[in-house]
Amino acid sequence: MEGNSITKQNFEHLFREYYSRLYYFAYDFTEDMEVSKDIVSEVFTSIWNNKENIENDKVVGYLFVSVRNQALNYIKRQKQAGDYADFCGRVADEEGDEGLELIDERIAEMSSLIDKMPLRTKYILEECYFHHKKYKEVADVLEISTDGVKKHIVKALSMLRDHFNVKKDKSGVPES
Amino acid sequence: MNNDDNIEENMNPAEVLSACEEMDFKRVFTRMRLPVPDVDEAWKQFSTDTDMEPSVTKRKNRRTLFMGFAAGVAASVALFFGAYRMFIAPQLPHAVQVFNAQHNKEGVLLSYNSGRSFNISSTTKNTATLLAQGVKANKDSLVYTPAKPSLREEKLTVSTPLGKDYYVVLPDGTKVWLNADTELIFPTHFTGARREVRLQGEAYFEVAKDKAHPFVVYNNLFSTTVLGTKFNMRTYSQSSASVVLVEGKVTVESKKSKTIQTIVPGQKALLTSSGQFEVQHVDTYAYVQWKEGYFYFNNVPLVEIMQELGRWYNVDIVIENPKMMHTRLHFVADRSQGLSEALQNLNTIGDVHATMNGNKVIVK
Repeated sequence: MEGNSITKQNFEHLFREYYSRLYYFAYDFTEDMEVSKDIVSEVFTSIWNNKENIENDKVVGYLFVSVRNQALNYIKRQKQAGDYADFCGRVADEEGDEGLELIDERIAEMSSLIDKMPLRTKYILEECYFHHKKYKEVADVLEISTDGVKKHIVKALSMLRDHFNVKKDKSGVPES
Repeated sequence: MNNDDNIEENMNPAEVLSACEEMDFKRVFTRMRLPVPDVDEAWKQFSTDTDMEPSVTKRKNRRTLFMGFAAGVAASVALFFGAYRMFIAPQLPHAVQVFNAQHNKEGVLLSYNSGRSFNISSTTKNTATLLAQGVKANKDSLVYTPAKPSLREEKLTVSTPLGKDYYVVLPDGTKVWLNADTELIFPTHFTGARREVRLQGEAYFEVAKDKAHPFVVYNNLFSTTVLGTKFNMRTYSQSSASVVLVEGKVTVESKKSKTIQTIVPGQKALLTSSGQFEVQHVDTYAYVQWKEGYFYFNNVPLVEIMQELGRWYNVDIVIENPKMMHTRLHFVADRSQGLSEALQNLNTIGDVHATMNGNKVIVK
């Protein structure tokens, strides 16, 4: 179909619109800023070099899947990363290849819900899921029990699960 | 993933997260904490690398430093961070000056209580003298290496002027980042059962571990006793002061009422004129960004933001409409940029219009 491939003009637009999101998406896996920037650049480069063969409406999906593949490859090459590489693989399997560009919407929604949670809960979530601390480590620092830490996590989790399940029921269409 | 260590037998399904759920939690914080990449720069690099002709796209005239939550005004009942001496607005809407610049701008000073005083931010001519006394100082930092024990013990004072921060390493290896308009007094040797220093202003401490010798920071209102710890202390105001704990454990004691309070990481102890400590849970990240070189204000009243800018850029600040003082804003900016760039950033928020008039910033 005519006009269906990428032009130079809409390429820059594509780059500017998706660069940050792809960067974060890569960082979520690699946890390295420079590597993430490199991956995103490489993926855009390969798209640029291949633009005649990619349809306009497929390019966004292709961007996200390629970035993820490169990120996963990077992680596998890190020697100490066995468990973490498995974890990332599971994330990729669970999320599939469709709708990855909608992740940011979901995260923005989660963020505003988490923002309303008590500060201690937010602290615990950040320590456990962003700083990779174990429940026991966080419990020791806060001088509470491991169960106490778990309670915060379970409460946050069930609140979020309820919220997103309700959305799913309302729309009748599975959430991505 | 770390959570595998957290999984025990017979765990309730409500407690088990899918990989995707775990990743989503991480994603929330990644987008909150990581600075946004410079897309303009990335595009420039990319188009150069791929030999593309530069197109005539309009360049965004400012960098958004942080993606994430909506900026803008929220009339929420959030905690009132820090305590400042506020100028109370008179009844009629009347411009209020909320910060006064200092007119004799000095450099960072190092003084001995025996009377000698050195301006360590300007020249290198003092370097040799100071080095002989165990002080290795340049315009950004000072490392104090304990001198031979035969030298008389003295008190050293490092003071920063408005607009300059400074990094000090104490005789025991404790690291201290001093914000602008701050004074730290410490001894040449830590002798005795406790390591004692005094602070006026704001500083972030990473205290060297020494279980046998608790580290105590005194300010004009309370003392803070710590073991190996990371915390931020703020005492600009005469009537209130606070400590925010990042790591470790601290006990604070009020001078006036002798009340004692212990806090854990994620907590802030605030002492107000009542003489009692208020303990709050806070986002410690917001309190330490200044030492990383950023202004980080998340839902903070305009007056506080402007006072910080006044202190850093050493300018008078006038707010024309006092009702705006309590407008809460989200504002993140690089402290190394100039005042006019900082004001440009501030102005893009939309609710604020700040202009410079000589050494005065006027906010409408």
